[in-house]
Amino acid sequence: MMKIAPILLCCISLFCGTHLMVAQNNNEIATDTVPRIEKFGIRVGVDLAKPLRTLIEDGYSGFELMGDFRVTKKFYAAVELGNEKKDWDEPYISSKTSGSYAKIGFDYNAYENWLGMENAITLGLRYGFSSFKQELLSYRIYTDNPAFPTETIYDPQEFSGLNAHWAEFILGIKTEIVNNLYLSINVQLKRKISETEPENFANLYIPGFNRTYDYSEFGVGYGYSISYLIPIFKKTEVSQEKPE
Amino acid sequence: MIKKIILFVLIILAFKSCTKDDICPPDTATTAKLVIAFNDIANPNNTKNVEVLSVITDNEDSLEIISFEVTNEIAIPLSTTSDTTNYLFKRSIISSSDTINNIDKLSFIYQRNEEYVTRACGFKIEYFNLEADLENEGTENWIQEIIVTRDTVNDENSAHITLLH
Repeated sequence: MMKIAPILLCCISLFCGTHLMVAQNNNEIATDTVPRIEKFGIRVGVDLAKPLRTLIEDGYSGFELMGDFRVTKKFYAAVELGNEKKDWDEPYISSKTSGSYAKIGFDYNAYENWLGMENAITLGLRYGFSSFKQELLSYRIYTDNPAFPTETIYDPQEFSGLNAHWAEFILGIKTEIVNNLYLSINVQLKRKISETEPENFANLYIPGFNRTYDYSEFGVGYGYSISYLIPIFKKTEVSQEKPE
Repeated sequence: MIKKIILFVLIILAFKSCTKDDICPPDTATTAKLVIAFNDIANPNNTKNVEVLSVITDNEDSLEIISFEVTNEIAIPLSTTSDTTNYLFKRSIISSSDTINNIDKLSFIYQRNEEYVTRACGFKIEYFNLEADLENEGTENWIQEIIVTRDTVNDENSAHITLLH
């Protein structure tokens, strides 16, 4: 349920956006002399999903700030900074990870906007870096033999100074809900490049990367965020569109 | 276009929440068992079947690990919580009229090392400096000699201990 709500919200806002576009199209007579005012600057935002998870999910807390800046018409420089704490429990292992991360890269806007609209479907690449510590709270020796049953061993060990690097592909949708305010949703596919592994243990969770898998270098994630565009620059340009 | 992308995003999220729970695959190398081979005392390079062998743990709740088997190689678990594991090795000579049992007490002494396996399998034990000790009953012992061939138990590829009988 917690995952559906933000998606629905975003969908609704997107549909509102498209209806608006259609209405605008009907009323407007396209000529090649309509001036197009483009505004751009620094867009800053926060992830909404992480604080929400902090409230409702046991053993999780986190937040993420993000910013982007239009470099060319289609390309945006983008950065995300965050911090996460996560408890990870498995039948034989229980651990706690906490740390900070940064992701830098760019977004490419693949969406052709109607006149004056500022929506986006973005394809992005990021380089991700995380610095964190991990605590092995308890563990068990695996056995499938009834002769010598094993017990959970509570012997907390802390591994600090760990880090990880990864590459990330982001697919996102951004929509302007009110003037200069954007809602966006994205999915992320990540691939680990390198990590420092704790001695005789592994990184079960990496802040920013999400959970890891035993036999795979890949990870997934999602984001749902709200951001505000600080319009520093305004550019008037004559529309290139030809009248039909 | 937008609708297609939303659909794509929804599909990805649906799959993400359905990733199957990690379970420890049975073929993962977890704590290895102790492999014991039985060879002929008259000709130590030749295998010799024990007729008929049972192996029972020598503790409060004694459990039969090997039950009446004709075999020349067995794999038995070692305790993961103690540095000694005691076993009773029972040879039963079964004839039409009678069953003659001969029980030998064997202790395996070792040191233990905990090793991380995977998130689903947790940890395993590696045993090293393995020694075997037979309780001496003089001529009553059916096991005559113990040879430790590999003193680290971390796999089950070949025998760690050879018993001559």
